[in-house]
Amino acid sequence: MENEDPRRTNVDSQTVQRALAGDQSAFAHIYDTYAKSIYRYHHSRVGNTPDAEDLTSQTFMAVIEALPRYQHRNNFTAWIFQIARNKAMDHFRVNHAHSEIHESVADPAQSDVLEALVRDESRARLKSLLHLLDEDERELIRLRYTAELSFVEIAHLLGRKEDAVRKSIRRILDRLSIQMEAQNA
Amino acid sequence: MPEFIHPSELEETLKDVSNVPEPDVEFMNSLRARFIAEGHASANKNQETQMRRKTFSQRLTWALAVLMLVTLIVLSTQPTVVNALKRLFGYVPNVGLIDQSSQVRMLVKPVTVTRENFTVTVEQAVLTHESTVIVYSYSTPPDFSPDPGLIDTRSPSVTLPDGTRLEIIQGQRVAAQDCSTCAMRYSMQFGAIPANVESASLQLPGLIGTPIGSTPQDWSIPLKFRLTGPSEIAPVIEYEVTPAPTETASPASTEPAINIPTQEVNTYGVTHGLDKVAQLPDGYILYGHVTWTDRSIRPYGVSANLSSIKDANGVDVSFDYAQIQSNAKPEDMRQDWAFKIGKDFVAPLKLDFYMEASLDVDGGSFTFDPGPAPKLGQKWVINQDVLVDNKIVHVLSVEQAGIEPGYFQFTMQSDSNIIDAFIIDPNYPPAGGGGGGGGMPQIGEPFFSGYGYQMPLPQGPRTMKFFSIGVLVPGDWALTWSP
Repeated sequence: MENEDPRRTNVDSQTVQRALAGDQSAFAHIYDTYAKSIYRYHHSRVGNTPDAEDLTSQTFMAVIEALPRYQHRNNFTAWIFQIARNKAMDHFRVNHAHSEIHESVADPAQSDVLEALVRDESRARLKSLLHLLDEDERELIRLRYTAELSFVEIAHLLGRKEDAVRKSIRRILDRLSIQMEAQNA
Repeated sequence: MPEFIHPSELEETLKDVSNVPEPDVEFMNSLRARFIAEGHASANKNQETQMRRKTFSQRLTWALAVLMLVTLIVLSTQPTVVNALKRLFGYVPNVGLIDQSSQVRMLVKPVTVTRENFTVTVEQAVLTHESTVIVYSYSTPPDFSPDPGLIDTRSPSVTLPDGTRLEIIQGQRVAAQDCSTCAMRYSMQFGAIPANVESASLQLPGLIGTPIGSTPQDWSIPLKFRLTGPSEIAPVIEYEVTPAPTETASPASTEPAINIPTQEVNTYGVTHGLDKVAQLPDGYILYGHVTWTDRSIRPYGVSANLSSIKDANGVDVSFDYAQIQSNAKPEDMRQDWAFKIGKDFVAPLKLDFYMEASLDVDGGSFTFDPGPAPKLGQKWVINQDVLVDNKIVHVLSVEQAGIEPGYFQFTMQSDSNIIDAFIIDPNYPPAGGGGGGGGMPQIGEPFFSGYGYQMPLPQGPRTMKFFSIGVLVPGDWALTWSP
């Protein structure tokens, strides 16, 4: 996770130019590179499949509309995730809902019952602690661990320095770690 | 004793907690198809809109400005005449201009290979002493709906009977509207195949544009070549234009068989001319160029924009953009153009161009403050005059425009020949931006320039700096041409 996802580095200015020229393979490339990450990001925010699908659709339709205005600065990931974030914010404005990190589906194939119990307990504690984070911190966690963006990409997206993003996430992790430790005690 | 949770372990748990269910495959495939289709349609629509804009007739303001400048240009321009006609070039559809000064060969016949319901057809091959161009297309099964994955961009190659491998020099996707079954059609250029080699094979690692592994891999398609017949290559007339003696140069007195005025003005050293015309069964492709000598202009910084074509009766002749064939490098200070027209017109044709140059500028800035919470669609009046390149630009207003927050569109106007501007906020990196244009540029009319901020939006007053400007190059850049 430290490095850029190699799939994402492939959407370069030529791909955008080809898309602007109507090249279907360029649109396919953009979609294949980002669709899953953006869906995951939206699902993490809204917590249900229909809304996540709707927001993912809205995001990609907005990409089509906004693409002629895009100017390449090696930050296509930040650009497309900015659109995704805006769509999510619009959704919450309309629905007066709050975003949260949602629990994943339990793994039915879990064979070690004791280990599963420990893990579930740990997950539940962590989940409750995540609710205590402020929205900016939750967004960092979401971008990093759900959308799986690199530090560089998050930095571009949020208009911050990479080092600052790295430190912020580290601070959140340290705090969560201490809180988890305290709860265990 | 509580167990200490290491950050790496915590990260794993975080990923686990942050995990979400996998998206529905049917939904993802459906959205993929919609995104590709609507993206493609939108791009085509944008291109058509751009073309329509360029066909608008010039308005009075622009005409008057040009009229005033023409007087100056007539005094400084050396009239030119067509000096020679040559027929070294030919034109092959999907391939473009080819040098036929030596023998040209083509495919004996198209070759089709089908594997697992995927079909690759090598439709054309054109072999000259300079290069080998191969045009191929592929089709996919009707129910082909691959899972998203890394798109195949591996390059084809050509293998000769002695094992020599020719790597691709350049390739491009070409139009396939005439082929209802084609998913994609590509034109690939390789090095020249020796004249005594009568066969080769095209090697495709995969089908470009599809997810790797979703289609049959490692295609080898046998090709056989033959000499071309005279009717298989469309003729191309090459115009060589040289300056004529000043004392005898007058369009009215010389009346060459093909009248191609080429103007040269002192401003930026811009020269504009017609180079070649390909004569096709259904029309013509006109190839031309613009060059300049002023090194203050950015690379590829001058563009010849065709605004309209009128025939001898003043009737608008529709045109389309054609594939430009140019090897111009930035240091060449040259841009080429190509337009396709039909045959239904009364000669001669008059091609009206306007010439735009992009200049770097250092400085000229203004400030505005959008306040703490700017809204989409909100406008601010700026009304500041900025000195840019020794000319005044009136920055009139700004609007948070578009569909996403953070994008600001500035409205400007200049009584000089500035018609476009690229501005930056040096304190904040952009998420996007660019000049706005908006159809035929007219001196004195408003133009637009945008700047997209990365979010979250910075607070407080912003200082915007002019980075480059677009200017109309003085001159009458019209060309007249008769078949």
